[in-house]
Amino acid sequence: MSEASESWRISRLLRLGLEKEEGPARGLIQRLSGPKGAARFRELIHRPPFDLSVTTGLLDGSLDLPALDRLKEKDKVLFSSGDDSELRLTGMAAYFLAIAGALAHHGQNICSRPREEVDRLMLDLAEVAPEPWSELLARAAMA
Amino acid sequence: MKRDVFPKTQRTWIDEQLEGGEGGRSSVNRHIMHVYASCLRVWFLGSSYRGKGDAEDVIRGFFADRLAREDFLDRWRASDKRLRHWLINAFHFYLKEQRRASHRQKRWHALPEEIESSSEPPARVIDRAFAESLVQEASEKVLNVCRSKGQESYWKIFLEHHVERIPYRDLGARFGVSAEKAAVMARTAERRFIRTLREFVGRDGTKADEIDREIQALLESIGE
Repeated sequence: MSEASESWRISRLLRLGLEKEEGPARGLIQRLSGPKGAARFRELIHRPPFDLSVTTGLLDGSLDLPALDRLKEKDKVLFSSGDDSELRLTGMAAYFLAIAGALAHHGQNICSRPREEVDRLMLDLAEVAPEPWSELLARAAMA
Repeated sequence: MKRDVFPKTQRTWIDEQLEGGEGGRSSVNRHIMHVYASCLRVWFLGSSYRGKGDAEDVIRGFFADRLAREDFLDRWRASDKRLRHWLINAFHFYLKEQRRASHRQKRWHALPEEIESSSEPPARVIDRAFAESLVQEASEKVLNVCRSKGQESYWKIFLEHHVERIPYRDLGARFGVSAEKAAVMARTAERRFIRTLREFVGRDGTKADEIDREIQALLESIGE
């Protein structure tokens, strides 16, 4: 390996270290990690605001962008104001899945976070979510 | 009895290891020898001591001497210095001690009184060596973690995507997974790497809220 390419490798990898593991998604990811994470995820998506039309619409793309944006805004309020930690987690899951649906099916970033950050979050959630949600989240990151 | 000068809220991995007895001390020593040997080598080879001994032997001698001292790391912890700077200072003193001892024994008498630095600012040289060593050690640690979990491909995909910029579609095809799955695998390795790298920066004595600034400074040292 040449000195220039070695320098590039070092700086590229060192720069990755600037990413902090913070933000609201971190708590959700931690709660969904581990052997019981998949079951826990399924519990979350059986609670309001999720219902059959929402889960189907998120997965098959039948929810249009305005509907996804409304869902995201409603969930944002839910996870920002709810005292109940379960309620907060459900709101957070719905919030990020609404963003994932918009990216995966419509190619639109409907949140104010930079795309690079959103992609990382989608991949982190994809790692802990069961199928078919994991695939939706990963597709969102790649959209 | 030792004075407790290290508040619980600022405890680091090194603090915890040192309080864990001999096993912990050995872990700290291994970490220091792995991560900092290259900083010392670069400094030694840039000084007027170069050519007066084999760098590896001199550094080994330094570590054996200083890391065996009970209070060596306690003094660093109380110093508020970055560990790499503390080690360089200690190495400087160690070389002077060696010179004096050699002089008494009529050996090494040709060594200069003062150590000259290389033309490049020493701190920058040390920082660059430290940055390279950090990335190297963090990479090796994460590769071993991935291997232990049967996820070596996660590390390979991560590295090839981020360093060689190979698209996930191509990597997925090579590793027999979808592009989406390849991205998730790479991200798993990436998060491990980020956590390890930041932890290693913290072990050098950087407070948690200063790690980003420290990484920026290290990036500047390698010309970013």
